[in-house]
Amino acid sequence: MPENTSTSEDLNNVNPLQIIAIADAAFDLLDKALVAIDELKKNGAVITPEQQLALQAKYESLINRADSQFSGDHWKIDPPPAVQSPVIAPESD
Amino acid sequence: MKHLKILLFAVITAFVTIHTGCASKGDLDPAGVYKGDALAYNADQAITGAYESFDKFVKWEHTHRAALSQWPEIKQAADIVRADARKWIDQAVAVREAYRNFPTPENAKSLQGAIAVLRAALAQAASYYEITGSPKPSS
Repeated sequence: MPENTSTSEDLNNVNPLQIIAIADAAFDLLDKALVAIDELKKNGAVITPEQQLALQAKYESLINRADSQFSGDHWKIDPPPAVQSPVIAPESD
Repeated sequence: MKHLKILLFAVITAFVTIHTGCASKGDLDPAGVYKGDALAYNADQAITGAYESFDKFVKWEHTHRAALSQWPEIKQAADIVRADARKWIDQAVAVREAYRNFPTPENAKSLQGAIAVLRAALAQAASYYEITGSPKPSS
């Protein structure tokens, strides 16, 4: 049975603790998403006035704070790392 | 690498799914602030959900950038979201506000289109690294 070695080769170049941290964070997000999906299914009957009010408040908050919503450090695009040109020693005569 | 991409794609698509899910007219209690207007409710849910999904994704990439540096397509995907997310959100909000002020059939149709664009942007952001591993040109 052919073995896909590319994944293990790629991962071998990364600190295992970093991989664990990344996977933990991703699974944490996924868990929360799945819980939310379950809640939506359970509450599928009627969206209550309270839930509607909460969504409206969230929407108003978003549009009223539009500038700050996109201003955190994680929203900044870092320039690509500068490429250092090789140092050329002056030719001696 | 492939497993990591699949994991990331699952996370993003899960958020897209829950945050942009649709309510139908019968799902809304008419006593609520939306007064049974499922289109307005869906629009607000899509806009706020899209922002939350984008924010979580770029924050995740920013937090783990060093560990993710050997997969540059992930940062490229996040940078496209950073560059264009505000434009996508602003456009949807503009159409949403037009519908709020003038709930005409024409504005309703425009709002449905704006929601579709937002969902497509979310799906596209996820697909950058799931399919090609390289950024696609933004419109």
